[in-house]
Amino acid sequence: MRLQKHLIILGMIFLATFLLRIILAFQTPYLEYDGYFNLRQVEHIQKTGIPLYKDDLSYGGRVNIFPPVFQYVLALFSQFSSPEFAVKVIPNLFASTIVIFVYLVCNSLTGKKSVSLLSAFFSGFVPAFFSSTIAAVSVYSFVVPLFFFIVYLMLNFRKQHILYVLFIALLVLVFSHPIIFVLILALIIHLLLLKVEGFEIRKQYLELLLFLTFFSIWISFFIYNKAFLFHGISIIWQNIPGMLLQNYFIDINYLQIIYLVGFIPLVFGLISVHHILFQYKRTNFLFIISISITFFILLLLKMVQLDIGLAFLSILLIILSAHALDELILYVQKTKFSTFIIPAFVVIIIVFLFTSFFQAIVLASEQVKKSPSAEDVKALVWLKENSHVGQTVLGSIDEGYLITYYAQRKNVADNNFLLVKNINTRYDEVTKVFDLKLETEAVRILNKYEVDYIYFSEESISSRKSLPGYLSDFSCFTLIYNQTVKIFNVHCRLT
Amino acid sequence: MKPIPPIKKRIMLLAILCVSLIILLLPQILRMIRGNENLIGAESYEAIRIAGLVKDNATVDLLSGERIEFNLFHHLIALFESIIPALVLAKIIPVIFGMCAAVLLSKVLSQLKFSQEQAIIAIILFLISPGYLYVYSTLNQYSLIIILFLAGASFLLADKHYLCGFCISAILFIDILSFLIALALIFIHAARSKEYPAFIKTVSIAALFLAIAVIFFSFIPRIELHLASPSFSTIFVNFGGILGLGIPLFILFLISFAANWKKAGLLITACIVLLVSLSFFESGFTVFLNLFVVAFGALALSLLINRRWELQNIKFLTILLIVCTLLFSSLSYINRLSSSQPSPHFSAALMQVKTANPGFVLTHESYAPYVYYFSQKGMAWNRSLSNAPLDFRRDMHAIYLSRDLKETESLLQKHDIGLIFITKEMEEGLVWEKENQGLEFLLPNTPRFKLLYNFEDSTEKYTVWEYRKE
Repeated sequence: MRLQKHLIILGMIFLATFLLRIILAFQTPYLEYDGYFNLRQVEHIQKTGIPLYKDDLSYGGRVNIFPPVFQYVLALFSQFSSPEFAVKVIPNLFASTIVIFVYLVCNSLTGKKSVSLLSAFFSGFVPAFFSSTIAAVSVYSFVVPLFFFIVYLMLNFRKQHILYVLFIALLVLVFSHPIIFVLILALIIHLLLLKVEGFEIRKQYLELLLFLTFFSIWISFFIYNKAFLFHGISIIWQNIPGMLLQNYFIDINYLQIIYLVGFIPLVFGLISVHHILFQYKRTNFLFIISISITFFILLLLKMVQLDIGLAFLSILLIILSAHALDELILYVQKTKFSTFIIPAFVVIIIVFLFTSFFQAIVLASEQVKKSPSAEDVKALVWLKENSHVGQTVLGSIDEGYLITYYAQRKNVADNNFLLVKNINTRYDEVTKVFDLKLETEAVRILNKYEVDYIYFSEESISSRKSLPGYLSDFSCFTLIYNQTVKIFNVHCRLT
Repeated sequence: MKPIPPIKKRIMLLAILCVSLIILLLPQILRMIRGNENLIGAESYEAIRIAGLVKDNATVDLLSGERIEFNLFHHLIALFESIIPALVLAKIIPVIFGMCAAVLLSKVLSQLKFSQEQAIIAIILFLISPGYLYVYSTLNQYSLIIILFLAGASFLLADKHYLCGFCISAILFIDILSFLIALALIFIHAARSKEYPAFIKTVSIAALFLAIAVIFFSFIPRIELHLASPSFSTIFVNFGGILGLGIPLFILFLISFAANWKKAGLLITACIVLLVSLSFFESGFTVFLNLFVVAFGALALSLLINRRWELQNIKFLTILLIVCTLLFSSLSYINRLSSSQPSPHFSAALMQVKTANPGFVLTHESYAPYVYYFSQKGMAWNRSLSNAPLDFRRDMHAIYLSRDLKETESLLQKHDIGLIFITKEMEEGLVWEKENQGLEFLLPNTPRFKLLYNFEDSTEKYTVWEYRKE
């Protein structure tokens, strides 16, 4: 009976998380800009059965390299509804399963269902993860829960049947995202930590690490061989333009990091880390700490996006905080204040609600507002009907996927930088062309990328004092769409 | 797993010869299927050109302006060139050398008390290693160096110290850096086995040969070390390097090395660490490092096969994955080798330069061997610009990057440059970062530059421009 009660509560937490996500996701009929990449892939899979690897529109024509499991899963669910509906619902469904896997991991570590449920509840509303996976059709909505499912399986892999499930989960993860290498790195750090702490290193652990290493390398050779040869070791930074990489952390301060991670996970997580490293010393907890250290290092080296790195770190701290909460209960039970356990936990939950839950909703709402507006989409659909196939549209880099999806025209750049030559030059030129004063330089850049149209979205216009001055040269630029969104036709060439 | 039954030495020798022959012929065959009959690698063309000059008793290379130093490898090629045509020789000799190297390695491994299983694994790893594939697909001085080193090692282990000394001394007359590495390894062996007389005998023979060469032939050994910026691409072929190590094999090596470094001893550990560090700067060091990587890798793989695993389910899977990863890495590398420069269009473009007006050729220094061979013209500068005198470096940068026609013309005339050879790689980062930068802008827009040759498709682009002073 007691077991069922916990499962019911877990189910309710899962449903609450999912419903809240769906409500926020459907605040807008559109997706976040990057979501249109996956939407296009889903539609292509539905038509042809394979992902769109050779893309004639992105960057004027390029090859995409990515593991396709997430896109195939979305395409499968799209069979039962429209792709636009499926890509909103399914990623949020996957993302909500994080509460289940965090519960399993915490229960595996502490053996206590109550703190595991609390941690599960916290994990459902981590601001960094919650806001970045609402309407983005992000692969992380699938990968993050899967990652923690694998963590749970690895904590219990000595059981035969779990080993088979672990293989399948690893197979799915390897074909979804290269985050498997983070797991390998974490295992190596775990090995070192075990050695330092004087623990015996089980052979099974080494065998699993070996298998995982070669498994990941082999699959990566298939998927990323071209990218390895093209970019060399800098593939780790995914060919992100230098200027963009530099700006990753510029606008972030410590308060914002606490805001994104969450106050309760941070405090209790750090208390746990201290307790585990210096007093408690259990190998399973050391494994979680190893993964946390790995993500921390990756964030420092800018090898992972800030919001994603913080999302992982937050969830790991929540898992670790289960131990701190468990120790707190045990401690308080021995004291005179044992009757205050429940009020204390109510206070913790209230603090969490104010510091993380509401922040998650606010952040998610702000993120959803960053989706394109109806006018933006209308303009691009109009452009599709009033331009020729094969023509190129210049918009901001964030709008690249939007242009290829709605206008079905070539873009100059978007947020997928892998296998793109001279990305720093291209990024620099695409961003500065909107601020240039000199018309000849602007025309030179526009001619270089064979731009036929310049697209100014509502967001683009509102973020500027005025449009570039060179657009007033009617011999070169014609305003062909003039609403809250503006589209100019480029019809001159430098001789 | 059941142990492999002992294989007779003759059968093993035959198997090594056959397998090495097939593996070494693969890049050539694939290349021919793709319609490219050119040799693989710049070193091949450099070697046959220098050997040709040696055969003609030339003392100075008129194209590069450098003195022709004595090099045993080039003299050997020159000797064979009198019997076999150069281009045929350039394809046959690496294969023969490769087969010899494989056989010598098997001999050395058996002398080092590797079990037959470990030796077989080591030889297979050696045959599929990028270090072996590159060295023995091109006409490369390392192909002879490795044979001499392995022969010397074999003689040393058989207590034939003077013969060992003879082989190691021969390396001295090819590349002094390789000689020093070989000598260091001989010393390490002597120190481990406390057989210092062996080392002393080797050094004595080398000193004797050196003395004879200096006194009677005015031979002056020179160390030419061009260290590039450290890069993962230099050491790992999977990140774009041409001569280096494969990552899967390197991981096996790391596993074995981590487990056995105490047994290997401080000297070998130090030597390996030094070789690994230097390999980040200069890919030539990976040729020797490859031998260690292969040996340790074989020990690792043998251990994994014979060890009792606690997770029996994944033992077979893991070993299968290791084998598949190694094979895939090698096949991918063979494919890259077979489609590497020079392509038929590349050589055709340079042949145009042959019949053009006199004057030096301006192009990236990495194309120097091809320019000399195909166009038989000199280059404005044939080495890394970082080694050039400051004013020359300034001039070259100005020629490439300046849009000032007067300045560019005066510099072209100053350095007697009559031809400019441009490739797609030069336009996409090798020389120019942006389009229409500097000389790239001037060429099509200035009447003094005449387009002699232009080829462009989706993957390649070669243009040859002639500069007319009047």
